[in-house]
Amino acid sequence: MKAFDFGQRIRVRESQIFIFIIILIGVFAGLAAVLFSLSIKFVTVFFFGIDPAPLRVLLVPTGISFLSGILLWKYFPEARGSGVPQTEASYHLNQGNIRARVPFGKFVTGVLCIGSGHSMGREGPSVQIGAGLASILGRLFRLSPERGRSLIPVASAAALGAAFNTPIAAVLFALEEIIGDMNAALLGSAVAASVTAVIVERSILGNSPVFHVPEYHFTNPIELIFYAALGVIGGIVSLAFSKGLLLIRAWFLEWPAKTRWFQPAVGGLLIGALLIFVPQVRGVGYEFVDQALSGGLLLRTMAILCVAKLVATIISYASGNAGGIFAPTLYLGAMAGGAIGVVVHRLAPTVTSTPGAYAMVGMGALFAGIIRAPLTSVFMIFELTQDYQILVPLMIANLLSFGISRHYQSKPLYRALLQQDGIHMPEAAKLASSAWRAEDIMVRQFTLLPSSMPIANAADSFSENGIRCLPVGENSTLFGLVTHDQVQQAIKAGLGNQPVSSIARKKFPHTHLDHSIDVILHRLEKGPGLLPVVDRSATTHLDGIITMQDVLHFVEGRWKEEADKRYAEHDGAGVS
Amino acid sequence: MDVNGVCRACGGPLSRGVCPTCNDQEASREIHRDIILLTVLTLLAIGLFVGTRWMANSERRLEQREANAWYVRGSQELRSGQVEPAIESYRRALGLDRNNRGFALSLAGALAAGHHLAEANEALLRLRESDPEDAEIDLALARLNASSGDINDAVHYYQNALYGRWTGSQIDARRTEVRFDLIHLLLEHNERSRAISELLILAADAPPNSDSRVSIARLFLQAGDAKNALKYFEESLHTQPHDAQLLEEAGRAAFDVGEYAKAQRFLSAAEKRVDKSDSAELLAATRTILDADPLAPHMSKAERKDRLLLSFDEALKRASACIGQQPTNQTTSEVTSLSGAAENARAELKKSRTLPDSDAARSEFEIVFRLEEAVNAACGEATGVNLGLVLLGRRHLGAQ
Repeated sequence: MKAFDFGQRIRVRESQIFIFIIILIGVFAGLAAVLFSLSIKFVTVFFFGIDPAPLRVLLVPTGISFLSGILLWKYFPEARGSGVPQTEASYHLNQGNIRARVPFGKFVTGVLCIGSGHSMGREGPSVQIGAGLASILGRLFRLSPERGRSLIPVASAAALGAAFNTPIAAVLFALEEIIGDMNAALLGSAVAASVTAVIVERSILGNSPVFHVPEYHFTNPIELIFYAALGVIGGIVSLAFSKGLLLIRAWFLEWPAKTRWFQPAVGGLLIGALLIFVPQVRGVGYEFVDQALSGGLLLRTMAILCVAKLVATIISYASGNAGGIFAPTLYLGAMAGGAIGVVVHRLAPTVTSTPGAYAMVGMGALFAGIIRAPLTSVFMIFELTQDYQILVPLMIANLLSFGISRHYQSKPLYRALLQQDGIHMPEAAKLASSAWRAEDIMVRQFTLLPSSMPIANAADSFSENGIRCLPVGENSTLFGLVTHDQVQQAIKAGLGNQPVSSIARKKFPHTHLDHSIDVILHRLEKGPGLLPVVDRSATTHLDGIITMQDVLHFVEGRWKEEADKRYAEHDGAGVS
Repeated sequence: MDVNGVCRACGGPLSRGVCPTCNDQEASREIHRDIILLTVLTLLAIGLFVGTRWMANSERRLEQREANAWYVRGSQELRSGQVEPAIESYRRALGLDRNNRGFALSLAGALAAGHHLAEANEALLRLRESDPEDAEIDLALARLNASSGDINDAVHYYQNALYGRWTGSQIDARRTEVRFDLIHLLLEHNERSRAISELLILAADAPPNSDSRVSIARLFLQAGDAKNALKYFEESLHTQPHDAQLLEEAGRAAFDVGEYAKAQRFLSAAEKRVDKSDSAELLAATRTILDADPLAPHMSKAERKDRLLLSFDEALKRASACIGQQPTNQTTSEVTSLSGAAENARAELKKSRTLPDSDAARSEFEIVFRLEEAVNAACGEATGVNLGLVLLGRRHLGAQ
């Protein structure tokens, strides 16, 4: 028997069982998504009954959010919010590793939060639960890190496919949003898992679509003007939602860390008060989206629900509850689109489609504007309507909404939410732009001034290192930056005995290991002369520092290497 | 493994620094582990699938119960006049049970009741898309369009409802009711000929009971088809011969048809059964017609002459009153001119020793009739005896 390397055997074995693992992921992600959705429904009925009294409406979200807040704070901090950004971060920054407790924690807290009335969606949590289960499976089967990582987008596609019953859009979402690369080699696996999950979902819940969509008729080219207007309004609503969410969330994050455990309960109290007056914004709310699509809601109702849902979702999400923004996005789009549809249909009934068609296009426009996945948005609506005629109006509205949203807020919402949590995601374009990266240029051995060091002593460190700026912190944890000028001024002002942390700058440009030289030069120019290199998943963790001297030294070294190589080639050629 | 060429674990020989035996055993253990894992996970998936399916079925039942509760609540709210809460309740019911036709129809009805006609129409059209043959959806659309004054669409949907698919019991009775609705709508919008066409179908299909015959007769009368109205009133009177209202209505129909003897009989019978009849004037006119008709058959020439003279007197009296009331114009000039002709004819008739035969009486009566018509044009419709003379003229001389 021919002996060969054990690693080779493992690779062969991985390839053989990979397809089984993909199908298992499809099955488990599909089951988890269905179970999650059913549990939310049961819990909602259990908490609220059919016609709850106002006091019950106020107390249920408050009390349950108090409980889930403790769970989220103490046991499952990764389960806060949607789950999509966390899944992206685990894929890009953590080799696809998700702690085993995360999917279970997300399931429990998600069911509690959404079931208790928070205006949040089930798709984002389903993605995180599916990805978490995939990560567990990857570890159980002892897959290589690269294979294990690849299971994350595959599971995301499966979970979303099952949660929303749109297998193609789910695959595109995994490529466009989770991986951030439409040319990803994982397409086949994602399709297989997504289709498996949808089969599981349909065999349990039946073939009924998520929404009963209206039959679409494109009546007149003039109507495209109205769809363009819908795109513009969709962009404005997207911006209002994104900016509002980030603003209120930043406000909650500014509260002392020790208040984190009861912040969800504060959100619960506000939501309970809102639900007394507008019960239609409770939970996922797809039944009302369905009614907007069928043209069964009044103009006034849709306008009120659009505003109320926007406020409710911002409160629910920003206060740190567990649940997604996928469903609220579609809800907002359906209400905004439906309201515009009613108005234009009244103004020009002969050249416009029914309000339901506008609600449908509105869903796509808001998805493109908020989630910033325009291709997924187009395919999602196409899968729901199965009608080619809707593509042109949909693309016009999506592009305008996407364009407006991107122009006024450059960072996509999921990325901005991660940034608020101190996680800085890489951008594919910047990663690919240069072969010279911060990890190659940075200096790993450097002086870190202890926070408690007196300013007078810090002055000596500057003269020892010969640089004009130094980092301040403890044990690789960056606290701030301090410059030579700051230290001199402080000494002159008689503050030499004060700790150096008292004068350290807290806000300064930084860079990450994967940033290219052009990003580094640009940020060095804006900074105090020193660029800290920090971890993407923990921006206070200092990996190294870069000064202009280091860049010049690195470039000089590379040129010298290059010159030596050419010289050697030339010399070699001469010999031969 | 050992560098000396012997495996430390199993003692076997090494090949390129690797022990093939240990390597195979390790690979075999991995494969066994994978198979066991796959089997366990598959069994777990099957168990979860069964559990989730059971849960889904329970959830469907729960949703159904909840939907029914909202529906009942909506119906109660609608009955107590709370239209907007009813709309909301029906919406909740429909949200939970999207395929329930009854919920959708009730929602549309509530929307219409709340004057949200466009939304109700939209909801019904959506429902109709899913089942274009459903008669109840067409009926709801017909009633909605009727209430919004869109007569053509309303008639279209009523027709669809009549020939659509009905479910449940008493289908014929429900169809009849729909046709009644349609006829009422047509009559409200003065579409008499279309109403009569529908009435003829209704009369053929309607159950042969007295109530439906009476309703049909009344609708015929309303549509201006007194002949058919009389026919159905007479049929109804077979079973209800002492119903004063029916007698009076039959009398009116008979009067309109020109069957004055029958009209007098019905109206007199009606008058006997109530203290004060609304049709006393009609009965008086009938009696006048019957007593004053100079062209009636089986009459002596002397009586014919007397009746003609009486007709001239009544017509001239009315013409004189009309000329006195109205300023001189083209129509009153015609009355004046015809009055002169009538005066001359009356004087000649009175002087004449020859009694008029039926042809002569006819030409004399034509003068009376023309005078009455001219007064009608100048001073308004005739009443009492003069009305009788107009009707007699129309009946005998065929004028309109």
